[in-house]
Amino acid sequence: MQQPCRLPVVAFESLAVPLADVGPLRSAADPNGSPPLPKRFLRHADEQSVVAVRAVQQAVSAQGGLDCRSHGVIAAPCQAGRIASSRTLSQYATGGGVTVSTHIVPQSSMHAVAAAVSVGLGMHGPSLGVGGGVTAVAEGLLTAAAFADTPGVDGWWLVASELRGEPRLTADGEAADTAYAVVEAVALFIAPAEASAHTPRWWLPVATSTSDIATKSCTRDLGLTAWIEMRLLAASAKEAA
Amino acid sequence: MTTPTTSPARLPVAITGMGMHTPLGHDFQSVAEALMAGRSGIREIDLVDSSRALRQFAAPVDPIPICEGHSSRSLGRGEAAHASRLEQLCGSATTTAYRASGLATRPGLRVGLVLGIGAEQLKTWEADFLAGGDAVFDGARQPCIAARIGQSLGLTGPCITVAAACASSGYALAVAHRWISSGRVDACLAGGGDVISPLALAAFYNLRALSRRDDDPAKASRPFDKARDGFVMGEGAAMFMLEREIDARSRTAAIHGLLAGAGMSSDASHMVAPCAEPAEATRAIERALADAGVTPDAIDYVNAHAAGTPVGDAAEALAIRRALGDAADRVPVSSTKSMSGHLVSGASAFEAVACLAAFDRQSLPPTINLDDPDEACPLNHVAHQARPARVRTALSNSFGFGGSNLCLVLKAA
Repeated sequence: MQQPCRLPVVAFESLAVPLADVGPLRSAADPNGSPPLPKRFLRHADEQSVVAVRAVQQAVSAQGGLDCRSHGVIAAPCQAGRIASSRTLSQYATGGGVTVSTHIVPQSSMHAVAAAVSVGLGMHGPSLGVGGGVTAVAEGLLTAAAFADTPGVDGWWLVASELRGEPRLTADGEAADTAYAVVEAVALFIAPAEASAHTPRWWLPVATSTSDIATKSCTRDLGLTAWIEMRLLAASAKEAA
Repeated sequence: MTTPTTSPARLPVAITGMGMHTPLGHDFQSVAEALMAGRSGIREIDLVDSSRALRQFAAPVDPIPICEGHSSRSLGRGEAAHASRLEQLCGSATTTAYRASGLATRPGLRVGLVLGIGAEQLKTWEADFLAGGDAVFDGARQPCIAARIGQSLGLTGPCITVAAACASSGYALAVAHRWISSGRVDACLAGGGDVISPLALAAFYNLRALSRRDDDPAKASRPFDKARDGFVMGEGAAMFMLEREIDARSRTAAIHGLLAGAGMSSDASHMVAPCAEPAEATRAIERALADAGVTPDAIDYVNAHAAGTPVGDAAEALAIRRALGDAADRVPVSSTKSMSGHLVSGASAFEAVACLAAFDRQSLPPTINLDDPDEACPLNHVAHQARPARVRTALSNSFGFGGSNLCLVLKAA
């Protein structure tokens, strides 16, 4: 069983939202064709989870609707949960254990983004978080390559997310300067052609190593969307040639 | 919805190195001895909490090791002493597994690392904050623990972190299995770990997920018992070196056991609460058996996830019965969390160690404190004392918060 060195991408959507505008997204209407979220589902979700779930919904909608029940989720967040963690730690320091929210672990762990997509959209395939830091995208690609041939899973959502322009936070968990803080998520739907009715539109190369310097520097300088768009375009051009 | 499809079973991979720091010991033989003796690692702990809300008992690792190998190459000795407890646990266990495998002295091999840690950033920010730092407010991006360990050991394969709550280290083993099967790496270090922290204790206590039986800590973790009232938090790390069986045998390496397959699914039910209807947990078990190419009749032992929560244990018992069918009456089941507490991210890896101990000792570790088995958990329990048995194939379940289900099939060498 040879693992693929490039992944067949059926759908690709991205969403970039200023940090200050994430609030309204929590209760926004579900797009047509996307599975509806449970009521108030995103109320306690981390900012990266909110934007990631909405990006996946957009992608499903753009495909005219997909049966997501047998899909798996690999989420590759970068430093998710920092805002809630800062607030919780400040409160703990003054008020002790009784102040700690029951949401802090499920909504701010590295698995939180993947769990939000899986639970929110009813996906019963495997669900896991990957990376957590600067090499998250490369780690996500390597994990997707590892699981691409999993029997019983119709396709995989690889969702990368970050808070670009990481702002310094106050003790209350408020961003000191939100001018450049943007929450960004990229959702890729990967479905091996032989196991699916979907035709791949792009072939995304898998990083050979997490020490792939290009991955790190490009995502830092360009942002997730631009970096993945570049990879997809480059791969398509190579395919056409 | 697509039904599970059949595919050729995955080739097993050999476990040729182990490293661990757990509430029951710091090496395989000590842990195996403690498990078979039914010894509890749960006790009162010192934890200052101004609100006095935190449970003062858990299953700690004492002492947390200072990782010599890790410190000598990437961190100065002083820095290693101040590195987070999580990094020291995982770094030391990984270094031990690498050295024990005999592969550390073989140049040219592409060795990867998959570390299962559910909340690395949260734990790192918390440790830094409690030590007076401001990393959580600053937001500067630092390399992850897996990258630092990989660098310190000079690994040339990919080094990644995976997270799936209580199933994190099981997912790490599944990724490593697939990387090796496909030739992406020659060998791979995999497993995971977790540490007890005030924030995690408080969050799970406030969630009413922890046992409140603080009059007798050693009796608090009682999976499958009628009087169970939640889990007891533990900590620790367990790491393995995995490689192709043919490679291990050709170099006459000591093989501790085989990782034969893994099965995964998600409940997609709730971000926190366990799912009382175990359809997806059942599916994960069935997928693990299919991945390993074994039938329920081949299973000699089930190491249950069973953390001691009222809903979770009963749901798992039902899943085991559904997946194993008639064999469930015969197959012995135990939960070693009754002794080790719940190692959270490290639980899958630690419980794989328990399965290897069963192979090594040809004996089944017990569920201690199982005084009054719950009728809602009708299984062939190994209660109180270890049971001698022929053990060649074991199933190990891990069902995490957020509905992540991961089951492993392990075989004796």
